[in-house]
Amino acid sequence: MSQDQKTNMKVSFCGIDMKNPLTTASGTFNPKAHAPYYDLSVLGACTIKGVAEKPWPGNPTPRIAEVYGGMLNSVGLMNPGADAVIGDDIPFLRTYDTKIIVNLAGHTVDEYVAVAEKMNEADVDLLELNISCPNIKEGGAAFGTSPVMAEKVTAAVKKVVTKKPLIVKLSPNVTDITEIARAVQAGGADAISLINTLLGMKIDIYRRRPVLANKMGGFSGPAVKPVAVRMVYQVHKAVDLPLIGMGGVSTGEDVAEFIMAGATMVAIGTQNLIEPDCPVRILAELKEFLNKTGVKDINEIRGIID
Amino acid sequence: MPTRARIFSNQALDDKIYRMVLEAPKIAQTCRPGQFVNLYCDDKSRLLPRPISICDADQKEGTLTLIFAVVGQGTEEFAGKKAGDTIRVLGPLGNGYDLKTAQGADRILVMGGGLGMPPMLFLARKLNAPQKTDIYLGFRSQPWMGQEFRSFGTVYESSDDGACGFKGTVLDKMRKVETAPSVEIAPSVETAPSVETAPSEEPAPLTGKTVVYACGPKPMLKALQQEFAADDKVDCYFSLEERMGCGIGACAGCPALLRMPDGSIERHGVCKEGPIFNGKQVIFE
Repeated sequence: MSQDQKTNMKVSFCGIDMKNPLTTASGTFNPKAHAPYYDLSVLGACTIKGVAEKPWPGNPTPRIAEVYGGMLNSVGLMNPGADAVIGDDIPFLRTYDTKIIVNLAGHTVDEYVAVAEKMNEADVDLLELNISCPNIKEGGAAFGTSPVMAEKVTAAVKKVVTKKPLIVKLSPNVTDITEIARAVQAGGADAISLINTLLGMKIDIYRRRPVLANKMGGFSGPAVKPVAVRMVYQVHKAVDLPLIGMGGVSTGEDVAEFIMAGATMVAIGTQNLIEPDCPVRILAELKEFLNKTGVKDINEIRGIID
Repeated sequence: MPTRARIFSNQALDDKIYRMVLEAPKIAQTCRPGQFVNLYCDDKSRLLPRPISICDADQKEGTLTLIFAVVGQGTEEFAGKKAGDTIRVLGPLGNGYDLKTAQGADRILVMGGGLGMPPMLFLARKLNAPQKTDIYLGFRSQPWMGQEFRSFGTVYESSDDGACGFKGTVLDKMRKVETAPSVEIAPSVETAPSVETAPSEEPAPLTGKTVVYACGPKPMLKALQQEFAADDKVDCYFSLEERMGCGIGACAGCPALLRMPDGSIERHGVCKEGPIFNGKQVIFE
C-alpha cells in the first residue's frame, strides 16, 4: 500500500479531476448489473450505455457471437430512453464516488440534439456523442465515417451542450481516422474517445447463414487492441484534444499502453462482460506496473511514443 | 468474480451429454431452482462465458451438479475436464422459479424437454410434493436421466423415436394423462401405441389450480403456451434460452419479448430478469 501511495493516479480530463484514468466503455457496463460485484467508486468515471431521447427496441436476436479472441454484438443500442436513465441509473451512480459520462445515441441530427439537450440539464459530468455505432442503419456510423457529417453533428450538439464537456466517440471503420478526428475538433468537440467496434461478421458454415440475426455486428475484445492503439496514437498526433482510449483492454499493462499512445483516460469494454469486477484487478495491475518501472505520476507517460 | 472450482467428477451420460459435479459451496448454498452458472474456458481465445443451468445442488456437501451438451469448442473443453481439474465459475445467476405458486396449487406439472430437463430435477426436489406433481421428460431417443426424479412425482417419459416411454412429445403425453387422470398407464405398455387412449380433439381443462413449470425447446414452450393460454386456473413458468453475452445483465444481448397485462410489449434480459418468465407473457418470434 505504501508503494501505491507514491504513484499519482489522478488525471485531469477536460478540466475535471478524475481519481484515476479508468472508465468503462459504453454498452459494456450497466451500473446496477455491475454494482453487486465491486465498489463502483474504484473507477475514475463510469460511462453508461448509449441513450436516445426515446426508448429503442434494438435488433433481433441472436445479437451476440463469439469469435477468436473477441466477440461480435448487434445489440443496436437498445435503451430505455433519456427519462428512464435520468430517473434511474444516474441517481444510482451518484451514490458512488465516481464521475458520470453518458453516451448519446440518435438516428438524425435532430435526435442527437434532443437527447443532448435533456442530458445537458441532467446530473452528469460529461457527455459522449456516439457517432460510431455500426449496428444501426441511420445515424451512428453514417455520421462517424464522413468528415462532413461528423463535423456537422458535433457542431449541432455542441451548440446545446453548454454545461458539460462534449466527447465525440469515433468509428474505426474508416480509411483515415485522423480526418474524422480533425473534423470533430473543428465541430467543437472537447475530447475524443476511440475506438468503437470494428464492423465484423461470422457465418455458421453448417447452417449456411450468419450467426447474428442482423448479419453483421461490432467486433470487440483483446483481438482488436493493436488497431485501437494505432488509432489512438495517430489521433493523438493529429489533434490537440484529450483522448479516451479503448479497444481490447483487459490488463493494467494494456491501460499503460493506451496512455503511452496518447490517451488521458482508458476505457474497459468487453472485459466487463467476462469478468464483472475486472476494474479492481486492472487498476492494481496498472499501479504495479507504474511502481515497477519507477513512474511517480501517471501523467508522465502520456503520449511518450514519438 | 469468477472463482476456480474443483471438479469432483465429469462423466458422459450419452453421446455429447456430460454430467459434471463441482465443489462450489457458496453457489450450492445460495442457488435456487431455475438459476444457472457461467462456466469460463481456459483457452483465452474463447472469451465468453457458457451459461449452464443448475441441475442440482447439495448444500451439505457444497457441490453443484451441471448437465451440459457439447455444442462447440467451449463445451468440448469442459467435456475434456477430469476429476481433480478446476474450472472457472460464476453464479448463481438469473432469477429462478417461483415456488410459492406451487404451494397453493392442486396440481404441479414439471416438463423438461431435452437439455431443458436437468434444471427440473433441482426444481422437483425443492417443490417436494410428490402426491400432486407429474413430471414429463422428453428425450430424442435413449434416456440419459430420469430415475433421479422418481421420488418427487409421477414420471412420464417420452421420446421422439419411441426408444423410451411414449413415442411423441411431452405435450402429447401430458394431454393423454392429464385429460384422463384416472387411467393409470403402466410403463410397460407405453411402447405399444394401440393401448394408448387417443388424444381428444379438445383436451378437457385441468381440474383445480395448476402450475406448469417448463424448460425445453422453443416449439415445446410455444405449444404449452397455446394449450393453456385461455385457462385462468393454470399458471405457467417457462425457462427461456437465448445466446448470451455476459450473463449478468450488462450487455443487452439476450432480451425476451413479453406482452404485459396492459398489452404493452416489454424487453427483459433473459440472463438477469429471467431466465424464468411468466409463460403466458412470452412472445415467441
